Amino acid sequence: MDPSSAPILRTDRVRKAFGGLQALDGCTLAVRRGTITGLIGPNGAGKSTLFNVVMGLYAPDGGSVHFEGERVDGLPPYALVRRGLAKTFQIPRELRNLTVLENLLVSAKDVPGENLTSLFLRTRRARARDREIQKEAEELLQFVGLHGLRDEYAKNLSGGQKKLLELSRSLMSSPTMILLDEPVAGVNPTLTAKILGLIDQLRQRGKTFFLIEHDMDVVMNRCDWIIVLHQGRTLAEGVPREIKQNDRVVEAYLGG
Amino acid sequence: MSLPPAVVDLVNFLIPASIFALMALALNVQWGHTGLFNAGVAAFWALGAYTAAILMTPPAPMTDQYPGHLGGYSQNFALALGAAMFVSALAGLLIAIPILRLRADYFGIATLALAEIVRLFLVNAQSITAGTIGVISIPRPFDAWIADSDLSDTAMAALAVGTLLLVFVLLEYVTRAPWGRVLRGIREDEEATLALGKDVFRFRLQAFVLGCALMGATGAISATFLRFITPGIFDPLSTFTIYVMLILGGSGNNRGAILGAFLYYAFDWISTRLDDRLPDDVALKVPALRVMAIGALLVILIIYRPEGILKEPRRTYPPVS
Repeated sequence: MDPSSAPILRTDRVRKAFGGLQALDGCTLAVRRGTITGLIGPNGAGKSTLFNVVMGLYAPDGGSVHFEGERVDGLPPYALVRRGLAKTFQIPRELRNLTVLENLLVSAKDVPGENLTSLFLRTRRARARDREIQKEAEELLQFVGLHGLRDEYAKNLSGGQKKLLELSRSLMSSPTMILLDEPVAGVNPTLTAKILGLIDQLRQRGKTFFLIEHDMDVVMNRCDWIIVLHQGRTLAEGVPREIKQNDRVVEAYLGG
Repeated sequence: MSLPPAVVDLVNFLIPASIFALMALALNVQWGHTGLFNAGVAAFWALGAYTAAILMTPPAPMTDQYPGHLGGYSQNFALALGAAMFVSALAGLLIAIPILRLRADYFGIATLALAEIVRLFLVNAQSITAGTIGVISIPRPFDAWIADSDLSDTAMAALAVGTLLLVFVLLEYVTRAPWGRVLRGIREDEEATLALGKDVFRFRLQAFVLGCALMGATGAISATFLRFITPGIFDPLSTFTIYVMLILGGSGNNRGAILGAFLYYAFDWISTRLDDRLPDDVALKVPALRVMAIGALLVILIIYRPEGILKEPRRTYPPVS
């Protein structure tokens, strides 16, 4: 990996407060293309808030966010999805009374059938695209091993299956970068290994991952680069070996 | 010409039942599919009805008994229908833009307030609406050709049922399409659907305005069917009635919306006819009993079958080759 390759994501002095709580306090960091970059830090460090700001779910109070070289802070989430960003939720947010397949179909982008005018005027093109996204969705369900449950209501999946659904759903918009908020939290060891294997495969296909995780085995073994967030700012960053030995990180987060 | 009594009965049943079914279908777009709690259904219904009534009526007779209203335009039904849809859709758009971002409960309160504003306007703007007396002498679309009252009702039934079928087909198409899928995603989890890259506000606005336009169209049909309308028809209870019909039949299911409206109205229709056969002292108590029975039915339904008689269909997709 070339450490000097241009960052796919860059935040510069991002600030975000909720009432009197300063969740992000001048957060500056960069994620390099093609990496699995870990974001760690104690609870309340601002990790999830940072993801929500990057995704466009929260507007930052100050600072800037650049994705793929373009300034994107203040843009709505659909503008970021269009540019190739996707995000999963820490607690799976499956669309409960939609089927597994529908959860993926609804996550596709450039769907003419979602537009009321093209729905009536360009039906041939709309139908062709519908078939295309269904094919993609079924392939993704095969990839994560949920294809047998394609017509099941999403609410009926187990906790681990919902995690796989979150992951596969995020891939439907063909993102170049995926923000994973605790992708293996509460997941059994077998399924954890499976999810991590899927992430590895996707990285080899050129996708960039930025993930929040509290399981230090996962973070230290799987991430190329680790960024430590503390009180809304970057405390340290480096390869796993450096982070493990960083006194300030040990003091703030990892413990003695 | 006189029609057999059974046909007359059927026609008399079908017209209001279809009107209620159209309202339930319109609400189903907003509440059943998108999860928008519109507590001001009556407002959009009334705006459509009054718009059509004002456009269609001939000059009102000025007498001591009748104060007159805005109108005298004698326009045809097609134009009145289009205008009714436009006015209700515009009202929906104007109220939605500021309040659509509110949480569901506040959205409900704001739409309920709108319905009361509209109703009080209809009561008090006497020079426009003739106040509580209402707009009278609203013609039917085919009065020029059909003088006979039974035949006029039959034609009205054909218009109402035809419109119902047309709206049903239209709504089945758009709600089965990817557009409807996004609406259901928003209903299930608005924030997740936002993060998945959908312009949630745009979809909610479209669903809301489409529902309002259909309520306006139904208002126009109601006005021309009834031949006279008063603000009292469009009270808050009328909104509640449409919700009961939709929940009874199956929220999120277009067939269920129609079934719920027909069953509810059938109950109303049959029990009203029973009144005539009861002794007067019992018959007096029946309207109150009817409301109590509907309330009890709703409670039982919510507890034992919250999804309604017809469940929302599970949408499956045949494999693509």
